[in-house]
Amino acid sequence: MAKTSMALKFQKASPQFEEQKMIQAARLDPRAFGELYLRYVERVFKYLYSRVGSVQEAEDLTAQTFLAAFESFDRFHQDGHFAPWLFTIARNKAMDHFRRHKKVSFTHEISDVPVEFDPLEGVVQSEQVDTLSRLIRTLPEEDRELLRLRFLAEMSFPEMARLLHRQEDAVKKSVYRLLSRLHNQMEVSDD
Amino acid sequence: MIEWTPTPYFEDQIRQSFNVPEIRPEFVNLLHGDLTRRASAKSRPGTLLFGLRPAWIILAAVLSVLILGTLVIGPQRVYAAVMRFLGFNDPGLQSIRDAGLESELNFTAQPTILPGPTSKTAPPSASILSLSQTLEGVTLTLDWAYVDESRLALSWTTSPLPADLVYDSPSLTFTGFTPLQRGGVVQELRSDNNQMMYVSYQVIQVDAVGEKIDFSVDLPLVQAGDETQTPVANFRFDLKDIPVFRGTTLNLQQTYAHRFNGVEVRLESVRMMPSFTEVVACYDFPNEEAPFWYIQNATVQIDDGPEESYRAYQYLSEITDDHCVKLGFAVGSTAESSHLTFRIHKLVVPLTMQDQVSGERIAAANQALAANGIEIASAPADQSEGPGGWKFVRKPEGGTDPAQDPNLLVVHILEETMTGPWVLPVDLPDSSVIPGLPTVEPTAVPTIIGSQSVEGVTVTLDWVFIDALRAGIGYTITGLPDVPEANVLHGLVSLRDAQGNWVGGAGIGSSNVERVADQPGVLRGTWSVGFSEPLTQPEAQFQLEITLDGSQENEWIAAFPIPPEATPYPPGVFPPRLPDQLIGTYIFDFTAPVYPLKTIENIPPVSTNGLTMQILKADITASMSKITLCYNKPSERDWWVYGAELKNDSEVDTIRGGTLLYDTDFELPLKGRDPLSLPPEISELPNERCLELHFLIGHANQDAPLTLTIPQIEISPPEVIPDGEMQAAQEKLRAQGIEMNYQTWSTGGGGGGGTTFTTLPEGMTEQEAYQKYKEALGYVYMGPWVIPIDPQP
Repeated sequence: MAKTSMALKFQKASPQFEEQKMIQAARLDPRAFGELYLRYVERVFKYLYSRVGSVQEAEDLTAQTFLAAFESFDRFHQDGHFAPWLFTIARNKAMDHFRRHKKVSFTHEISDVPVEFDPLEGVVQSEQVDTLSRLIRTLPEEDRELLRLRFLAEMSFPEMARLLHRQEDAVKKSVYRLLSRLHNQMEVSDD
Repeated sequence: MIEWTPTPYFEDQIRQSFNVPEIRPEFVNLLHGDLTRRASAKSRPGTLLFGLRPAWIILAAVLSVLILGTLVIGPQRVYAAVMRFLGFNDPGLQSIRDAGLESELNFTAQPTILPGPTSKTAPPSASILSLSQTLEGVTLTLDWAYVDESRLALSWTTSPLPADLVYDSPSLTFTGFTPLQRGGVVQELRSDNNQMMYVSYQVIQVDAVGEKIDFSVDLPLVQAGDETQTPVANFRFDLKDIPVFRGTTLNLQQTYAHRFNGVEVRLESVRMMPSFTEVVACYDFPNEEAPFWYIQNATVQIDDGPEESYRAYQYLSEITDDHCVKLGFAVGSTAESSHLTFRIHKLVVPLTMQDQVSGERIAAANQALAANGIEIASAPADQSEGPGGWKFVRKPEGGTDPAQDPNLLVVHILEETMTGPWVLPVDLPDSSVIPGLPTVEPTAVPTIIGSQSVEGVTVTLDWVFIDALRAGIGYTITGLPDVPEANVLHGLVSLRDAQGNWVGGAGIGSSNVERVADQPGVLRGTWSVGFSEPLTQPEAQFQLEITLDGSQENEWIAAFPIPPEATPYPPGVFPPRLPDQLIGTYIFDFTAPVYPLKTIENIPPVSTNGLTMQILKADITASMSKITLCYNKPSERDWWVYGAELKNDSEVDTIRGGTLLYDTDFELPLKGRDPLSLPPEISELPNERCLELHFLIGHANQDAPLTLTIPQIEISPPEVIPDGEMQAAQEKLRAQGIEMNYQTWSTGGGGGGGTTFTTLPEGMTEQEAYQKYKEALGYVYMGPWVIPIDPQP
């Protein structure tokens, strides 16, 4: 029916509402967690691949992330903030991965933290993308993380703000400044 | 300077730059299967307390809490607590309901009837509809429809009509075809049960139109005695896929036309109301020589009762060469009546004072009038004693019988007449002849404000509430099976404004549903949505859609509250869906008053612990509040309001969200944004911050002041707390008997930190210790700030 299909379109245009319903369903029946998994698995994988640069390791970390999320879902009570919660787990899994594989003890000193694999050293698809890849590689890791969360994890600014414990406007400002800087550098590079 | 905005193309290039491959579907499926197996194992049922079913355990626990709660804190608070427990955790809506602010509605329903499972071999049966609408305070429910190839029957139940309103005849509009050989209609409203039936006689051939038809029914409500029949309101029902049964299956008869001595009379419609009957009849003129033929004597007879002559006569416009009249009779329907007979006894050519009958007719009249002692002669119009140009020569004296009035006797003799009778009997509608109707007991007049039924499932809109910031509704669903195991109600609820735009975008909404105690299968719910822009008009029109649809696994309206004690499902058993299929979309068009927005300013500032909080303004409706709050931060850091509560006379709500409006330390507002208009005493201060705080609670249309309580403000902890700050804090905590470890990590891609309490004083919880930890860091500035907000100007 026409009215029904319009209503469906509307609801599909309200991802937060959909997600809220999935969370409530999963809370009532663990099998409904599968819907949340399908909603986020690609984003988590992309984010983790960008951290570790290996399909096999990214899949392994993705599985660990979702299994951990599933087992601890009972303790998740912030319905509106599933993505920050899930990607916090993903970041921790990535952290654990580096600890294990680099055989380096964890300390408070940031300089001691192992350097991650940089997937941007791989193949490039075009000259512009190649240029952009090189520019991003020169960015501080904090800025690269902003780009990963925004464009691979597909997180909204409020979600990023919650994950990073920063104000939404501050995160937004940082991302836009970063994009603007990259854009300007691209133009200079083209010249 | 024009600010650069990233384009989607540029953003896509950023994504490509990371060179991430597509995820393998095999991996996605493999992990999904693993999670599903774990979920099934997790769902294994636990041991039941005392061998009782979970429902009994829950019931016993709830009853105990209710009894104790009622004794301790009183029934009203217990009720409010129960409502919150059941998921009705929307104090703003609860307040407006407690305050009786739900709107008296003026709405119509436009239900979408979905096809039902009708077998070709299924016996003829009425389609149960139960579609309700309320207009002008009158609720009308279309109960059922029945169509075969020669009859169409409809039945409504109505609330009692005001004395000045009456239903006009319904009109039917068919989709894609026009019925053939229309043969009259009859409509009867009975006062004993407020039921109205309508039967239309026509031909609808299944072979030509199919086994199901769509049609619309318009039923106007008009002012009693209004000859123009201007609708005060119009009830419209759009019906889809109503089955048409072959042949004539209803044992109802109505004579449409009667030809007598070459003159035909056709009975177009009978409208029988509790206090009167109205007949529309068309007739041929016996000859075309006279300009007009008039029905002089027509009657209706109910069953074997007396014949009643018409009291009102209205000549209608000619319809395809027919001459049609509407006749009113002072006889109404009764519970016992089953037949009506309409008779026309005589057609006449009326005489006027200007007419001059011939001498031959005068002579012929005198022969007939002699028996009455009357003789007349021709006379000029100015001397005529009646229409036709005549005067008395002789007439009887006195007499009180109007039928023997000499003037009338003369006129009737002189008029050209055509004598009948034309007799047209009509079976009054009788629901007992309609196949497939359940035995209906007399029911109370509906007091609901709107309900619709599809496939026997009824959705009733119990109440609506609209204010400038949000809309809320309450509904009841009956007719669904009682499925205690179902965990959610599948379907959708949405709202559109008068322009057809979906309402939403404010990030505010709620949806709750519960099972009604002691009424198996009855569900009751609330739903609300916030407006992206405040409404400013005094009244607004909306269309609410409630779709009950179990065919979409991931579409659900709300979850039923399930206490933690409830038993999980066993492995491999999935909760049943409710409903288990697509039922239909229930659409309610309604208009409701908009409770306005109050903006309160000049609220005195409140100082605590050397820090002043000032509310610049409070935008408050009956169900919601947005408060603009400014304060001078203790330092340039990110001091945020935590745990703020807003309380009205009966309910309290914690902060639901907010926006950072102004903070020079954070360069807010951003360039290009509207600057916040601040008084100099605020804007000239260093470290000043202004926030907009959102609460789902309002003034509930009460005079009582609201109270904003802010227990403390806090700094958002950074990802990594500097070692110096941490060590100082640990020293302070150690003095209070709290030992803790703090660890941080960083991958260069951000970082994080965490606390572990190793020693706590006896009785101290980790939550309390964490508060001490924040205080030791200097990340907390204690209040409280308690600010009264008086909604009265």
